[in-house]
Amino acid sequence: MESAFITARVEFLKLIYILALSSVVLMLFRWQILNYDLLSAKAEQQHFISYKIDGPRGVITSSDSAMLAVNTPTFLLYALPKVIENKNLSKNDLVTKILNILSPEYSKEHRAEFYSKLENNLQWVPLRRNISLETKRQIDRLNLEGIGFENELTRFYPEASTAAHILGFIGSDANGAQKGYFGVEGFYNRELKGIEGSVREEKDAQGSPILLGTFIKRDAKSGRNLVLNINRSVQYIVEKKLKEGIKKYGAKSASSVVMDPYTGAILAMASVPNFDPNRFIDFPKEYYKNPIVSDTYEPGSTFKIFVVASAINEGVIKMDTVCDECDGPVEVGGYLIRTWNNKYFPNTTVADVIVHSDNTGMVFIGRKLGALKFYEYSQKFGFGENTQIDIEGEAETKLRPKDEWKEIDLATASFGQGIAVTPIQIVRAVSVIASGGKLFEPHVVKSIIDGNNVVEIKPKIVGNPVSEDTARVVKEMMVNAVERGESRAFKPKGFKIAGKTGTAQIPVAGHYDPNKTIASFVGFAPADNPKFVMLVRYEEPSSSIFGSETAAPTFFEIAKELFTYYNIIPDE
Amino acid sequence: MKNLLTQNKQSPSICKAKKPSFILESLNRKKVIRILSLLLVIVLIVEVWTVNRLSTLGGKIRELKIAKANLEIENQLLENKILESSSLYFIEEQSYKLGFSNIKSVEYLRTENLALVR
Repeated sequence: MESAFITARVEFLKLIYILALSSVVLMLFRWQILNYDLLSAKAEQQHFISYKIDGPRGVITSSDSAMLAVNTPTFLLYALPKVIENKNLSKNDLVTKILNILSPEYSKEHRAEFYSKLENNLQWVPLRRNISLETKRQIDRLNLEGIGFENELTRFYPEASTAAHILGFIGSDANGAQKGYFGVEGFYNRELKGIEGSVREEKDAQGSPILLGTFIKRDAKSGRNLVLNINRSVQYIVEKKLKEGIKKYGAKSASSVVMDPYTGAILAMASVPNFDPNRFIDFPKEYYKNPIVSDTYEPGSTFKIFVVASAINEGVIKMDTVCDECDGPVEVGGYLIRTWNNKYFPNTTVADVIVHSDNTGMVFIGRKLGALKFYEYSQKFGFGENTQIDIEGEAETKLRPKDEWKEIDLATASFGQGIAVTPIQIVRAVSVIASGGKLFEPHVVKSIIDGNNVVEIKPKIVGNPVSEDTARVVKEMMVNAVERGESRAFKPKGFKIAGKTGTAQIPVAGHYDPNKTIASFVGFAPADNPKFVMLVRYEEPSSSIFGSETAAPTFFEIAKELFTYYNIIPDE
Repeated sequence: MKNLLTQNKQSPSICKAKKPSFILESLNRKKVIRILSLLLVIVLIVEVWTVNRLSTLGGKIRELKIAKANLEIENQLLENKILESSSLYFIEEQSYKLGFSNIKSVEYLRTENLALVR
């Protein structure tokens, strides 16, 4: 009996032992097989630290090595709502302390916005981007728990609003990633963008890296750098004169573009009003657009240069061809075409038509050329198509289809009304005259640098609208127009400048407003060996509607400064 | 030969002078093993000491990394400050304060007017 009892106890102990061992095996199975993924992920978190390395965006410099766009270190302030919740920290207190540093005059909305972020049931929430080092240090001194900073790189434009329309700015895309908008930041976004790197290393219990442990690094790659054709000093001169001019002439806006006629390189491009790309959000969105490439307008008398060049190239007129219908207003298709000042010059020559900017003379020349040839030459000069300039936002322009030209359309287009162009198209077309007949593709960027590899963007000839002889003849007429025309009083002494004024009425609700004009002047200098081609344009100047009294003086003022800058001595 | 052997047995000093080669070999082997064992122990101690030193350097490395990152940030900020101060707007502003003024007119000297050329 006793032995049976002992046996029973032994059997019972065996059972307990087996059960205990089985439960251990079951637990091991549960941890190592069933929960393997979860537990190894937790172990990974404890043993490894991962962080990203920013790939800096490429920098943008001018042709004279001035930095126009660089990167600056900033910080992203974040909160850990769950940590704040777990440690029972006062959210009100946190928000007050942070806002006292970030925005001392914060509003109730500000406060509510911050507070709502801390109420989120998330591990991590961003609170504010673009925090400076100084602000970060002030917040660090508060030793707040549940708050931290991440390093970021933010775009910085040291020259502020200089060349803003050429550069564009950096904003966020739909995913919150940095993206370039407008200008070269937009056009060359892919080249400029850096590639993020990462580091994954083993850490000890205190979070310090273990030297002999795992260390996996993927290097960040900087974006490509851009060197522009823009000359900082020329850009500065142009912007300064435009700002003075817009006030002086009471204009709504002003713009100017300077180009090298022999390469198509854009030396300066400015528009006022403009914006500071460092804080573009503080400016109206209408200011972001670059009017030089995005605005279409009727060029007015500046277009006469191309009509005359086309007719001379076709051999239908010469410089001394006489206009036999310029003694008064001309009737075309039921409309009466008059000169801008109602002055008429019977038997005027083609050269004088340009000097006096005679609309009736232009109707005569337009008729000689014919609608078909007019259309063809407009295309050859680059109108009705994009210039392919490397800036975001170029507007589409279209010529009236060639089978839809009526007599009145040809007549008005011959003096630059009823045809839509962009400022960059005008200046590129005038460069044909300056360069002896070649049409170049305009370029803002000179070269793209990727480490040690430099890719130069070479000048590209896209057409030859007129011969060298034609260009020479038209150039002489333009010089004549400056020497003897309405703007002669403002011309700098001693320099030979070729140019043409333009005063185009603005179409408003189906008719032209006589008091609202686009006043412009386009030309190149020195005429015999041009260093630059330039267009100056004012929208709705109020002191005078005429290009000869607004855009021309500004053109000559800029030209004077450029002569000094480029050490160009007077011809006479 | 037999006599020699017999003689050798009888004389212990002769036995001592000429030990058999296998005994020499085993003695050398023991020495080598001892030396190698000692070397191994030394290497092990050095390894443990080195690993211990390196493992505690992680904290210092982290501090150096943080310090390096902070210095790089400050460096970049200072470079950007220099760029800002080199902007033409800033230079113009400062130059007006220093008494510089715009060019009013430019005189061009022709070579025929220069006394030096004459």
